[in-house]
Amino acid sequence: MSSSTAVRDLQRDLENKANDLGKIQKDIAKNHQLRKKYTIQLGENELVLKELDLLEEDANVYKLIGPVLVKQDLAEANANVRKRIEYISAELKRLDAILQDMEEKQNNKRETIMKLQQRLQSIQAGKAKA
Amino acid sequence: MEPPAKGTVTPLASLFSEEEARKAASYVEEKIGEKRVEMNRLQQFVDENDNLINLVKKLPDQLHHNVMVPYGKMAFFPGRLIHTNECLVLLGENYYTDRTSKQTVEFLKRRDKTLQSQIHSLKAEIEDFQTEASFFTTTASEAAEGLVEIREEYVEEDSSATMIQSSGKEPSGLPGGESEEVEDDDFARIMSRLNELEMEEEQEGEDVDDRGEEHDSPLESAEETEHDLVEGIRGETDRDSMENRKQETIVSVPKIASSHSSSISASRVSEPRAKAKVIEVIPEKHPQNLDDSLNCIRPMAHYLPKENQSLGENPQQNAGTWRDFQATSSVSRGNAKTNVLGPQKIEEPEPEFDSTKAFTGSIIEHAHVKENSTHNQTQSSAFQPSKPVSRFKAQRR
Repeated sequence: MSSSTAVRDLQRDLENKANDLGKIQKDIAKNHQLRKKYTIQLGENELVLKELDLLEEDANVYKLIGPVLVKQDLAEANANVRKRIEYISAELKRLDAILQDMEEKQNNKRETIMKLQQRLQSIQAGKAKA
Repeated sequence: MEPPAKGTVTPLASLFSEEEARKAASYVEEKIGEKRVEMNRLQQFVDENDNLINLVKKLPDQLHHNVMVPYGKMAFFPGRLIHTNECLVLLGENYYTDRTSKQTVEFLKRRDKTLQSQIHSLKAEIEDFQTEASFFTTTASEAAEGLVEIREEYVEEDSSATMIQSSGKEPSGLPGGESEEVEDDDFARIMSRLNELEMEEEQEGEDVDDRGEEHDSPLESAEETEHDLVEGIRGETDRDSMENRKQETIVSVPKIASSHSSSISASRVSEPRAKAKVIEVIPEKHPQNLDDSLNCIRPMAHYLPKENQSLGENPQQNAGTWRDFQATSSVSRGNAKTNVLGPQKIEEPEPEFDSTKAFTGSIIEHAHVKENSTHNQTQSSAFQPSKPVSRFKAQRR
């Protein structure tokens, strides 16, 4: 009888762990999406920066803010874009760190789940024999 | 999932079920589809870009163009394009700039280049996925066909191979060196080669001598192997008298081996006795003993593709023998396990045990090939509790 309660406990434990794992996996997927978005933005900004560098000093640069085009200094635009690139790279790095952390957690969870499953199986096998 | 011991025969289907492989394949196909869509999108961009370049190139040809200006969705009215050399270009990120047509064309061309590079990388990705998908589908079909994977521990096969090589080369190399003595270069080269071979031999001699001739087992014919085994083990027996129990197991099997090589019927007769003996003995063995003794083999236990071939040959030759050796497979199990256990113990190899190890190693092939489930059960009752199968699996990977 005690073994059956143990099995039940194990099963509940397993379920909880599986749920946690699912959560972590969802988070990771979300993180991936975010990362993708940032990567795209980074690429776009780099393109813009390249183009801005190619512009001559007196070129007119506008920024679209809402419905209006606002005239901007080339130097200012350049600085803005650079800052933005910096920000995005920092963000990407941060996301990477988070992602790594989460993956580690995921692996740990997976391992514990495997162990639990093994224990469950061994218990069940023992029962079947008995 | 499979009998843990030296060599294993694993149906591919049990490693990756056909269904799983197919699922994986379809998943990859899906990915390919996604990438294709992406690529089409990019290709569309490229086309639009080309059109735009053509248009912008043509614009400054005239001072003004008469066009129909769209007004809402349905209506147009005649208009005229002026300032044909001025464009407001979106650089991205909501930055715009005033450009001439020519500059715009340049800008568009640069954009085209980036698009092309993106398409290129996408193509590479798609190719990658396609090979992956084809791998999965072939795996699936192979699993469906019932292909098996044969694996065996690597027992210092290559050292024996080089031994044979070197011993074969030496005689031929020596006269060659004498005849070509005149040419200093050649002579020096050959001498260095000879030295090399000698060194090799010395080294191997150290490793190999104690272990007996079992090294050859994977290479030589089954009969020879058996003889070698017997010899090696007898030698060992003399040397090592304190490991009584182990001895017992060891000795019982070689007997069978030799009897088998002489006549199959004889081996049949002796089979039950040997089996009983061995099985009795093994549980009593001190696992620690076994571990220690078997550890020395560990460094040699690599998996090499070669092994598969030798395994493939031996089973047929020994088809009759495997039963006799079944009993020993439990020893080999211990072996397999200890390999996983203690890398740190490697430093203390005891020569007497080497032959044991090699012996178990060579024997396992037979045990392995056809090991059946009933046999497993007998064993597992005696030996299983101490070693979870998963460990072996881990080692196999």
